[in-house]
Amino acid sequence: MSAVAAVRELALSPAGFLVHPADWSDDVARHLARTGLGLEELTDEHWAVIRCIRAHFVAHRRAPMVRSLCAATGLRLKRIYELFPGGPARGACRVAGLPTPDGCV
Amino acid sequence: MARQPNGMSSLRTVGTFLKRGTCSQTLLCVVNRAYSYPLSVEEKAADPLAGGIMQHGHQCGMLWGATLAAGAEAYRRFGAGPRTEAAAILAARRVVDSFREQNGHTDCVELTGLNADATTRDLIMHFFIKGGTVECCRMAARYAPVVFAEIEATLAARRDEVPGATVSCAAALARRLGASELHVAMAAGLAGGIGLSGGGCGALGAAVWLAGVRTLARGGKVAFKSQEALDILERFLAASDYELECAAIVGRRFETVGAHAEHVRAGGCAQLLDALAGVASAPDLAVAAAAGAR
Repeated sequence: MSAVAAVRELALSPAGFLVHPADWSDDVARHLARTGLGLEELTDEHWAVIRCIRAHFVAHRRAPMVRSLCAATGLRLKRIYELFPGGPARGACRVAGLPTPDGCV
Repeated sequence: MARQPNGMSSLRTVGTFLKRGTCSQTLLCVVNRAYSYPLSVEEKAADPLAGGIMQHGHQCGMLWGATLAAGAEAYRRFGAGPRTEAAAILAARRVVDSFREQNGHTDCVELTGLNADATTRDLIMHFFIKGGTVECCRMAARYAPVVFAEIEATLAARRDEVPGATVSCAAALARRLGASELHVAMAAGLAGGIGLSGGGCGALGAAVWLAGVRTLARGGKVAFKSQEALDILERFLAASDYELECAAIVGRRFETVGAHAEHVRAGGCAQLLDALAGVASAPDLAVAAAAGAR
């Protein structure tokens, strides 16, 4: 299946999060950024945030804490909000292909 | 003779944690039940405070939950008013100090020790040897009886000095939001970054919690990261230049209840309280709204 066809068939929650996080890829991230956040291009700073969230999710099945994300990327929280409309939770985590979070355990 | 918690046990606390899913709700729930005074809506509404406010890594949700419980008990004993607010703040300070003594830290990001750049070895240590979030369950089981004892000790102490009408930023905000006197008292101890500790803003926590209470009261659902809570957080951040900690926002920590009360009465943090109350007059709020709409 082509990348374009794959992103057409993505299952999204009502809030726009991936239902199946395994569907994620770089192309899916670009698609989610464009359609969900209006971001036509993802810069190195965007990718640094996305990769950080994604790596943490793969390891722990949940998003990193925002303070950890800032420390790991060297970006202030304000900058993350500038990069991703909706901030870390509604913006960056969505582009990184995380499902809607529901609790600690 | 000191009052004993009703039916509190380590096993029951762990069971509550696994059933309820968040540390904030768990502490509020087990302490309320130790006082034989369950508040199911208020307990569920504490969910977004977990993870140091919606996974931001600030104070452990147990501290938010324990503080709300302290305020509820202060209200039952003293009724509404400055004395209750002051007692709630002092109880909150004690539960924060005890938590730090017991666990070495108060912030979720430090307690879990899981930075985003943690090595594979760190991750293996945390999840397979230390037990990952199971450690949070253990912490809750150890901490719950301490909370009860600290609330008891604080509320039993005699206090002759009571500051004037406005004592707590979080309680003042709760009043502006039309909260009941019970809810005002429950929010009171969150003042000054929970019990004047200078951590994540207590008024922000109060706004998020009260929004959850309202949603549940209308028959809605409260998620760990609900849309309404995230809206409140974004309004707050836009007004605080994206700073979340009380000590950093104010530029100092409050040593006493009186010093904090004076700050609030003098209009300190008024812009933030406006933002949390939904007063959409600040230019930053318009920017935030525009960003959120994109």
